[in-house]
Amino acid sequence: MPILPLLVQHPILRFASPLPFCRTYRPDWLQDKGHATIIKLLKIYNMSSIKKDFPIFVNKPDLIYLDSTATSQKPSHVVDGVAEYLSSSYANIHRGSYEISEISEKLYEDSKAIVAKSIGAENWKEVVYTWNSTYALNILAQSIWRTGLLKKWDKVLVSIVEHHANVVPWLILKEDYGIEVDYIEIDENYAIDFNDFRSKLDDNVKVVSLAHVSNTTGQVFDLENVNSLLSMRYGNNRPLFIVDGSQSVPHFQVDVKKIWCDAMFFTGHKIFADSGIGVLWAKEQLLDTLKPIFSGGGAIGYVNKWEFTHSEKLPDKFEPGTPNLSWAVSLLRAFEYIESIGWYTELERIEDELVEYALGKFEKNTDIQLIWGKNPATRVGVFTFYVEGVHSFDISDYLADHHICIRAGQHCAEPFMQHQGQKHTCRMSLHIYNTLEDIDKFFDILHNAINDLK
Amino acid sequence: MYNEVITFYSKTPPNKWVLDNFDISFWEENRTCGDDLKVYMKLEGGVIVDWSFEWDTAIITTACASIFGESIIGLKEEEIFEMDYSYIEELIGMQVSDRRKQASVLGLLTTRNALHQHLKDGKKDTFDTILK
Repeated sequence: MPILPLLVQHPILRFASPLPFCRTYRPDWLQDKGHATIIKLLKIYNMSSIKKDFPIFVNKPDLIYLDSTATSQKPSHVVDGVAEYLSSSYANIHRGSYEISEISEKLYEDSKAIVAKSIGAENWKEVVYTWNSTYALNILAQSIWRTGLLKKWDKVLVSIVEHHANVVPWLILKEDYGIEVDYIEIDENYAIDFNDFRSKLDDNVKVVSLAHVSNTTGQVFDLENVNSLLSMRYGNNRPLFIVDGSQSVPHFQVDVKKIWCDAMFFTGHKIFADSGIGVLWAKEQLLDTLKPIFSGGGAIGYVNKWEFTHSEKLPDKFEPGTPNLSWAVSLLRAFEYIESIGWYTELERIEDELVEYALGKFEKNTDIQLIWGKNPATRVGVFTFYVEGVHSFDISDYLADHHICIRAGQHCAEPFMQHQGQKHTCRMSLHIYNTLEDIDKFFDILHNAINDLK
Repeated sequence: MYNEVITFYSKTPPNKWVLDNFDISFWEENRTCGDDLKVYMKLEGGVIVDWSFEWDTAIITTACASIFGESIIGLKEEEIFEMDYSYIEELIGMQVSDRRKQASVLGLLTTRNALHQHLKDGKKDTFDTILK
């Protein structure tokens, strides 16, 4: 291999990228000499170009990461982008009159602007940053109550497959204030059972809050149809329609205008940004109406010893205290990275190929019970499965011993797991840095695990 | 993944059944690992004379619970409260990874809480008690 001597002689590896921040990485394992190093260099040489964008796979070429539903890996554009920001432009925003404060402010607004553009929002002022999806819905749910848009005996509808982020905040309101929470069933394809949904729409329903994509089945819900049904049933007096975009925004282009929801939330760490930043988008009219449940510096209009007013500025009203600046930069860089590879068109193309390949493999393995609907056109790369007679944690441990990362448990979807009668399952999930070889290796080792553990 | 002791006890646990005429039973769960376990005990004069367990458990949980249950036959109730993770580690002859430590002590935890309930002492142990 003519490239190999060059790589060995030049241990500083550089992976070209059109983006400005990417630096060189010198993985720890390059300190060692010998056969193992050559094998790793070969792996990197043969690595897909997307995978090379993610430094963790350069540092750990044996790693097969199939847990992106839990969190995504970070491209060097994000890693270096945050480091560059912290080392050359970091300052607080809103009040500084010096250059780095202005740069910080611009970056913060650019971050929101790219988020707004990505989800089809009217403007970035409708984008509120939180810590993650769970905090986003907790804040929204409590604000909805505080504003009086929900009262005792009013009903919130969620689906039976929801992540706890979209269950527990409503159950808190149920416990504290006596609202009702009801669950929409799914059909045999794990899609929304629209007959059940229609039957549960009554005058007490004030909020419908649904995942766009299930974090267990990978099923994409038909939210445009949900919107149509709400309009037909309620006209202009429809319930608030809230969407959990945590598993949709990382996988395909979401347009809040097409869904016509009132609010949507998602989390940055599942779409290549650092953990610690969540996005709550809501229509400007709703944000203007809502009373925040947290407040303090930066979110107020006026304060004296006895009273205060909320800021009238959006989204400041909902962002008290120093914002999560470097995390906002990480989210900006994450969306820039997606733009650099061809935006969602390319992201979806890669994922469709991986999903089709993985589904084919699952279908051939009769030992593995996949919890999924039959329509591959309406799913993303999330595969929850179990094997009769083998504990899910034993499978995940076995795979972990072979550097394959999946997740086992109930995936923060206990109502759904109870509905399915499953106490524990495994979940394998894909993203753009995965390859067909990753999927092959997963099934090879899984096959061995089943033979050894049964 | 595990040593021969763990492999043997996980595949053929000698005490995985529902004990006849048990005096105490208690159920506990380890939500981190998706395990739950129920223990059954027979006592005579404050001494454990028989012990069994059941439920759907992973390899490490099954093996550790089974070995533990075998080891406490003939011991007094109060001796169980002196046991923690180190006792399990000595029994199985290997250190358990941090992510599976709770699984390894689930049998012990369930037994301790079964005895607390039997003694009506108002106490309930947690994984923190045993893992310290």
